[in-house]
Parts: sequence; structure tokens; C-alpha cells
Amino acid sequence: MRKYRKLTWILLKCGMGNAMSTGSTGKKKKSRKLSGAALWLLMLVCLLPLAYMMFQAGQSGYEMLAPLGQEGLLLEMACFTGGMATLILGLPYILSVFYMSGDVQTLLPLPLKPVQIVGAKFTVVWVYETATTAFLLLPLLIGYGTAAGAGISFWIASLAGLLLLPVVPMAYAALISMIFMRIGKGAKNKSLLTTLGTVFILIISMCVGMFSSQLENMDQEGLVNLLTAGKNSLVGFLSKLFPNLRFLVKAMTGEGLAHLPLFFAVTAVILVVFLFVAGKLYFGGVLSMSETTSKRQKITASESEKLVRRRSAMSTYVKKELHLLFRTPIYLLNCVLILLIWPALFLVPVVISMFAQFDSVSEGFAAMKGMLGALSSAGADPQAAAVAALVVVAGSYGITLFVGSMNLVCATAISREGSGFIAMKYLPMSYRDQVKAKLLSGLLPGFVGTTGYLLILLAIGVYWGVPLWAAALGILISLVVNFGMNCFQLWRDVCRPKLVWANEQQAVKQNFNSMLSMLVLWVLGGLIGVLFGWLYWKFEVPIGALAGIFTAALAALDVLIYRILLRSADRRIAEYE
Amino acid sequence: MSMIRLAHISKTYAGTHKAVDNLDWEIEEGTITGFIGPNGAGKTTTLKMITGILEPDEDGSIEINGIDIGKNPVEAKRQFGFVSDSPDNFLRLKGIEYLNFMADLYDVPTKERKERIASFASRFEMENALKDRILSYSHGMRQKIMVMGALLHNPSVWILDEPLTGLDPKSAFALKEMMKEHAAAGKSVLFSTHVLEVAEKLCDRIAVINKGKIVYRGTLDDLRKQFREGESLEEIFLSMTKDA
Repeated sequence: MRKYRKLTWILLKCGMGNAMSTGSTGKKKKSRKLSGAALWLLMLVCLLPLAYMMFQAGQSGYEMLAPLGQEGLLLEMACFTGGMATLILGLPYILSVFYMSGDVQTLLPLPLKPVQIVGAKFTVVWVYETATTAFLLLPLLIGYGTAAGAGISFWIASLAGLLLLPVVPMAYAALISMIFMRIGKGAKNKSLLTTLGTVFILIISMCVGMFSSQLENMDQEGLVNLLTAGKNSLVGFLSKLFPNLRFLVKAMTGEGLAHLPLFFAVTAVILVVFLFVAGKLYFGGVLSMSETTSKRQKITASESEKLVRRRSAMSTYVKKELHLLFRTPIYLLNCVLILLIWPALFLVPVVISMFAQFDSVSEGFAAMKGMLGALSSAGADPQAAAVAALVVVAGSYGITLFVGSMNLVCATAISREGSGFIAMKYLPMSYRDQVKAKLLSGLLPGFVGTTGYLLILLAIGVYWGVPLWAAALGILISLVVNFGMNCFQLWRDVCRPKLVWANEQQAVKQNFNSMLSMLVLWVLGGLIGVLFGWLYWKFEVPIGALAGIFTAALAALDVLIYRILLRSADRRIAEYE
Repeated sequence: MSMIRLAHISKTYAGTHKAVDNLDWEIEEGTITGFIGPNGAGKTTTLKMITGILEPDEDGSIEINGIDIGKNPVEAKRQFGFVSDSPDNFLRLKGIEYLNFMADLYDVPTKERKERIASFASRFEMENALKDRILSYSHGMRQKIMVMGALLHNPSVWILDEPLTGLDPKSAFALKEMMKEHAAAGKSVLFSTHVLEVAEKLCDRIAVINKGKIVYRGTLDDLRKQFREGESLEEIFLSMTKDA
């Protein structure tokens, strides 16, 4: 136990204490501290709307469900969502911390039992996940508690829930990772295997989460009976995936704090089982991580012709960036694939639930064909065409804003360099040129990530008879917004890169820049959207003219941000040591 | 003519700790200069300032082949090849990709890069490793690929931070021979080392740094004359840095 405590303390100190560290030295230390505080404040301000939304959801959810006696369902849904978020977001994090962290090679030769290493690393991840879950759930619980006029037992149970909720999903995520790494221990290309495996596990986890609900399988009459029975009869039906949830919810809904020990007990049993299994599995998988495969083959003359070829410094730098991005599983997952996966994960349940309303898949397709036919005939109506133009223009903007903000390539471009940052300083390429190359490497996944969704939108628009100019404007808006967002994200990282990190996950996930950039872009993007809507409805400006003016204004903003970025590159990168 | 010239160079960390104190130093062409000193004496800090990784405190200037690195950094950086003390960079690139990357940044024509890659690979016995990722290399192989990348553009000035660490005897011998050939061609090599025997056998000149100040600069023979006859280089070094 003493070794576990010591190790946990060391890992926490090394990993968690530098979320905002930069490569700067004593120079301008005071002003940097002040700007750091200002950034925290800015982030809190950006988070306020989201926190308020969650607070409102808690309040109004209670007011809606309490008359039916089903208010516990809201708590269970919230806790279940928090658990699923931990499971899905925790998977890559656990893989990184347990298997790819730089400290693994240091810890393995030490006289430590696998369970001590797993326990310490699990605790480190738990601290991070608890902070994330608390951020999501706390405002909702406060909203619920104030609406319900909850007593002390609710707040005690809520506190216990916030602290222990991540344990079970984390145990699941860690077990899945360990089984996966154990199976794949003989694989030659571990990076590719890890990436593909993580994507596969994410999809499976989402499906398990979606279909584990007993409500899905219940007939309508049974559901109505349960709903009208009151007394939180629906609690426990949402999911069997996290068996400790029902006890927590019962403790929170005033059915007595006596349920709280049961919540603790079930959580503890799952944790003990996990630690026992992890003790058996961990070394088997982690020991193979240090094995690297190589071909040890000579380059043939024909290969040399292909491989050794002169390119411009800019294109070779972009290529290097993309190679490092695509070959590092953590970067690929968190910076690139996430912007392709997340919207897909939102779309898949929608499509499945749409098709689930029909008796057969062919019936579903027929209905969809009819819907598109209706859209097509609506296109003849000039009013409908104007609405279609608005949908395409606003949709392009919204899709690019949402999908593009998840593109962390530029937001972490300098941070990902880590200790290798010094190469940026001695290579014979100006800092602004290196930053331009990094911008290009971020724009590429950004455009690819948004194009797919944009094409779907435009295809629907074409059926709807959207005018050609609106489609072209939609594409232009997407390009302009993407460029501006990437410039902004890169500028943030140029100004305050996180260069000190122990594992690659910290460079992207525990990076203040990525979160701040995302929040600022959402808030700014939202405000611009609101301004657009206000001008459109208040003054009835024609959609084409208004969208054209906005696009031109956004393009001008792009030029401004781009210039600021290049100037910052010259000045700031020279300062970092 | 001096290939590297430092004038009034100082470096202060955290506003108080002076790692390098008012250094004036000229490194002549056609020489191999060994830079020795105890841990924390200021060797790496000095090399990092020469290569543009660290900015010196105000007032000082550093010139490589007459080009001021503060005023014309990109052109100054083209003059030298630098091997840092940590070879763990670009690990997910293949060896050949890394060499190509470096050759592109230094504008090495295709024909020349092919010839040099083949020559270096042969001398360092890396022919069978270039298609593999650097991640799969041993420490010594990583060091070798970094040396190859740094020398690919045939720079007139070599700056190497502990270049022999981790190299097998054959590769260490090859690198030392290359350093001698380079100096014999009228160019210069500056490298830091802890291994006094290496400095003794390889260097035309040495510089000993202690607490941020260069306490000796010159040939080894001249240094020996200042101490008792029969004293080893190790004893001389320990005596010069005893208060480190």
C-alpha cells in the first residue's frame, strides 16, 4: 500500500501538475502568470453558458418529471451519460497512460507488483476523469437539487456519485484495453493495431451503451404502466451496464441514504475484480510494448529512386508533420479520427432509430425515397428554395464550426513537439515557415473532416432545389471558417504551448489550449450565428446578400488572424527555451 | 579565419543563475575543438546558444562563418550541422524519411544526397536500417542517424553535443575519422565530451569550462606545460575544476 501511495503521488506530480506549463523561462514570468490567470478566467466565462444549460436542464427536468414521480430517471440518465462519456473518453486515455506513457519503461524494472502500477495509474486517470465528470454533472445536480429543495442526503449522495461515478466505466475501459493489448501482443505494427483497435472498441462501447437499455426492448403498454406507477419505477431500467447506478440514484432521490453503502459496495466489488484481473493481464501486454519490429532490409535501387527525392522545404515539412500525426496512435485518435468519429457516432443512432420505426430495411429506404421526393417537389416553390438556401448556408457554417473545432491538429501543433521542440530552433527554416507548414497539416484533416458532412448537406439541398449560388456560398463559407479556426487554434498554441509532458495523451488531452480554443470558437461562432439570424429576421435582408457580406467579413477576419499568427510565430517561438 | 565567434556571451536562467558568464571565444578553421567541463558547467548551454536554440542575454553576438545568428538566423543555421545530446527525435519517421527531410531543409540536390546517404550508411553500418522507423533503433543507431542527418549537407562547421555516447567502437572510430578528415579539409569541428581520452587523442585544441567561464583555451600540450610533469589529463582536469 505504501508503494502504491508513493507511486501515485509521483505520477500525479509528474503528470497532472503541468496542464498549463510552457517552455518559457523566467523572462516575463510575472506577466505570463497574469495572462495564465486571465486565460483561466476566460475559459470559465466561456464555460458559463454550457454550465447554465446543464443547470437549466437539471431544474426543468425535475419540474417535468417530478409530477409523474419519475424524477429519478433524470438523475439516472445524467449519471449514465457521464459514465458513458468516461468509458468512451477514458479508453484512449487509459491505453496511453497504461501502455504508451514514457514512464512505463522506468517502472517495469522496479520491484513493483503489476497491481501496484495499475492501481497508481488507475488513480491518476480517475483524478482526471472525476474532474471531467464533475464539470459536466455538477451544474445539472445543482439545478436538480435546488428545484427539488433537496436535503442534506441528496448532496452527500451527489458528492459520493461525482467522486465514484468514473470508477466502474474506467474499470471497464481498462479491462477492455488490457484484453486487447494482451491479444495483440504479437502484432508487428502496434501503432496501427492500437489505433484501429481503439476505434473498434469505441464503436462497440457506443453500441453496447445504446442497446443495453431495457427500455428499448419494452412494449409500449409496459412502459406506460411503469411510467404511471410513479415512485421512480423507471429507475434502474435505463441500463444494466453500470450496476451501481441504481443504488446511487435511489440514495439521491430520497429513498434513503441506506442505498449509499450498496453503491459503495458494488463499486468496490467491481474495482477489486478489476484489480485482480488487471494484476494477471497487465504485464503480459505491457512487456510486449517495448518490443519493436523492424525489417532490417537494404533499400533497393528502385526504392531509392522513389524514396530519395528532392522536394521543397515546405512540402517536406508538411509531409513530416502528417507522418508523425498519422503514425502516433494518440495523435491520430484525438486530433484527426475524433473529428470523423464523433459526428458519425451522433448520426448512427439517429439513422438506426429512424429505420427502427419500419418493419424492414426496404420499407425504411422506401420511406426515405418518398421523403427525398417530397423535398424535390418542394424545390419548385420559390419560398422553399429560399429556405433551402438558408439551411445550406447556415448548415455549412454550423457543420464547419462544430466539426472543425474538434480538429486538434493545429490546437496542439507546437505542444506535440514536446522535448523535440529544440529541432524547430536549430533547423534552417524560419519559425513562420514552420508554422505555415503546421497550419497546412491542420487544414488538410479539417477540410476532409467537414467535406463528408457538407456533401450530405449539399445533396439534400440539391433535392430541395437549392440555388447554385447558395451551394457555392456554403462551400466557400466552410473553407473560410475552417481556415480562420485553424489559424486561431494554432495561434493559441504558438502563444502558450504545453511542451513539458510525460505521455502523448497529455500533449493533446490535458492541454489547456485545445479546450480553450474549442470553447472560444463555439462562443464566438455562436455569437456570429446569432448576429446573422437577428439581421436576417429583423431586417429581412436577402439571404444571398447577407451571407455574402458575412463571408467577406469572415475572410477579412481570417487575414487578420493569419497575420497575427505569423507575427506571433516570429516573436514567441524565439522566446521558448 | 574564425568559423565560430562568440563575443560577450552570457546566459542567465530564471533571472539569477548565470549559466554562462561573458564568454569570448573564437574557433579557427581546420581544427577539432573539444569542449570539456563538469556537469552543469555550461557546455550544453553554450552549444545551444551557438546553434540558436537559446537566446543569449543582451549585448553579446554569435557568428558562424561571419554570419550573425541573431540577425540572420536561417542563413547562419545553414552553415553548421548540429547533433544534440538527445537522439530521441522524429522517432516515428523511417531512417530514410528523416534523412530526406533533413536534405530537403538544407537544399541538398538529389544526386548528392543519394551519394552521401550511401556513404554514411556504409561507414556507420546502417544500410539495413534505413527502411525501419527510428523508434525501432537502439540508442546508438539513433545517434548515428542523427549524425548522418546533421552532416548530409556537408556543413563547414560541425557542432556535436556528446556525439560518441552510445556509439559502438566501430561507429565511434568512423565518426572520429570523419572529424579528422573534416578538419584536414580546412573546416572545423566543435564537440563536447566527458571522455578525456577522446579529447586527448582527437582534439587540436580544447576549451575547459567551469561555472560558466572558460578557464582554459588552447592546445593540450600548452595546458600540460602549466602543470607538473607526468600529471595525467584527468588530474589536470580535476585540479582545474575542483571547486565545481
